[in-house]
Amino acid sequence: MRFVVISLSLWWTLLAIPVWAGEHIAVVTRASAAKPSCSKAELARIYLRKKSWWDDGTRITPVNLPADHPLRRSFSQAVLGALPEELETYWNDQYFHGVMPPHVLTSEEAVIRFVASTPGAIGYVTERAVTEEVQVLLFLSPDTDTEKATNR
Amino acid sequence: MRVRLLCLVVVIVASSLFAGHRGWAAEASVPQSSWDYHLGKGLRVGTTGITVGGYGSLRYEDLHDRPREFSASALSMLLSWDNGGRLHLFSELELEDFAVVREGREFGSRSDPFEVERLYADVEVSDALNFRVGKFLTPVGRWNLIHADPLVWTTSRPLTTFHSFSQNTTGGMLYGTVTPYGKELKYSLYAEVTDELDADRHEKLFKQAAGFHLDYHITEATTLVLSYVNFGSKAKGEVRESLAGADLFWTRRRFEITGEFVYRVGETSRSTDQWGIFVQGTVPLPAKFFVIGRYECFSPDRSFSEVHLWTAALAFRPIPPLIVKAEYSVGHRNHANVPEGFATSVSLLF
Repeated sequence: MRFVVISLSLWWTLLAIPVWAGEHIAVVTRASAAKPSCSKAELARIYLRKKSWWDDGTRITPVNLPADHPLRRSFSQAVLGALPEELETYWNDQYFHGVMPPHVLTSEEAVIRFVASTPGAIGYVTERAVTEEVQVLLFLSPDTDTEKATNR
Repeated sequence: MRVRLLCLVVVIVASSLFAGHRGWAAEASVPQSSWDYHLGKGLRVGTTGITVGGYGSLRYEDLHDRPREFSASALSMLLSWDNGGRLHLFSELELEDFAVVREGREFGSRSDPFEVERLYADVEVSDALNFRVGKFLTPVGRWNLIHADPLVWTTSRPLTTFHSFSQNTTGGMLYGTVTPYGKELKYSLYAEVTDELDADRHEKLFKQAAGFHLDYHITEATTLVLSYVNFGSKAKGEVRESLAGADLFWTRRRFEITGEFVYRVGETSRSTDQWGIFVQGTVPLPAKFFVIGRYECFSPDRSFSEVHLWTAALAFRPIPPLIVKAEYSVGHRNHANVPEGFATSVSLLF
């Protein structure tokens, strides 16, 4: 019986650990674009649709992963200081003014494809999902205070 | 009493049907050629850049010295166009009190329920500089800018948020966001040109208004808003008057405190100065319920004493686009005949 309980506990613990545990979250844009500077505060403004333009005049198109995706939840908590469901009131207010939340893509691969092919697009993936088609603007540490976010 | 209880039960049970979802994910995917609808986020029409949505509200009121009333109090259509360029279009077309059942009277509606609430074009130059032309919500305080029933916690609206100024302005606006010292400051400067788009323009308070609105994020949780507008008062032979306002909004983990203050002063006589202030707190409860308390003090005219109004409310938000509210208001020195009593409503963003 004890074996079963321990096994089940271990199984649930493993399930609870995000697959990217220990990895950085990479904030990416198109590789062929000029690399804009982007702080964590600016990233938050981009994902709240308060900042819409890069310095070169290109419209910013942020993309998200689904609200229940572990990486989205980690990113939202780290950058916006709140989980996706905690921002719903904010998005209700914005909808009333004609402002929509970022589009949602279903996977990290889809984010890479979209960002690589869309001028002004910005997304986030795990460090190991980064390809040559995109460039990394910012790395966010998932296990530390996001104020330590670093440009590389 | 039985009717009130029945109303409450019906709206809460109806709402609970929506509450079965554990999570809520009404977010649009990247535009496809097909249409994409999400409750509370509207319908995105393929890759056209057009989004159609809106909100509606049903209301039941049992107010002192007034017949009981059930109404379809609002049905608004939000229509926007944004194809990724610098020009955006937005409109809100509203039917207000278009179906009313009043105790002792027949079914009816407001005489002219249709209104163009907002209709404007935005040209975005940068994050710091944008232009708006058309009819927009007058940027005074916070409530007037998010006054839609699904977005506010109470069925009734504080006098401070609408009584002393026109809720819409038709003209031009220059607005944007700057970040001095890393803090976000949203500004807008605006001027009224015409009131031809107002269905009820004869009742409008403003003429030739011009003003500004500053929205400063003191911290992530706290926002301070300052407003000023100078206008010709229609009720007083177009005498120039000024209105200044300040409001504070704080939110953290679904707790909220908000308060607004306005002072309207004439340039010729102080005897008709108006002022108002309210403070409202919202506390989250288990099971997506919220309890709300509000105190308001309003002085419609210096020749009368102030009206005091207390409101206690309960709100249920099973999913983000839907809210069910019930409240009871009590007044003191209510010579302005501000509504007191019971009110309940159900409102939906769609």
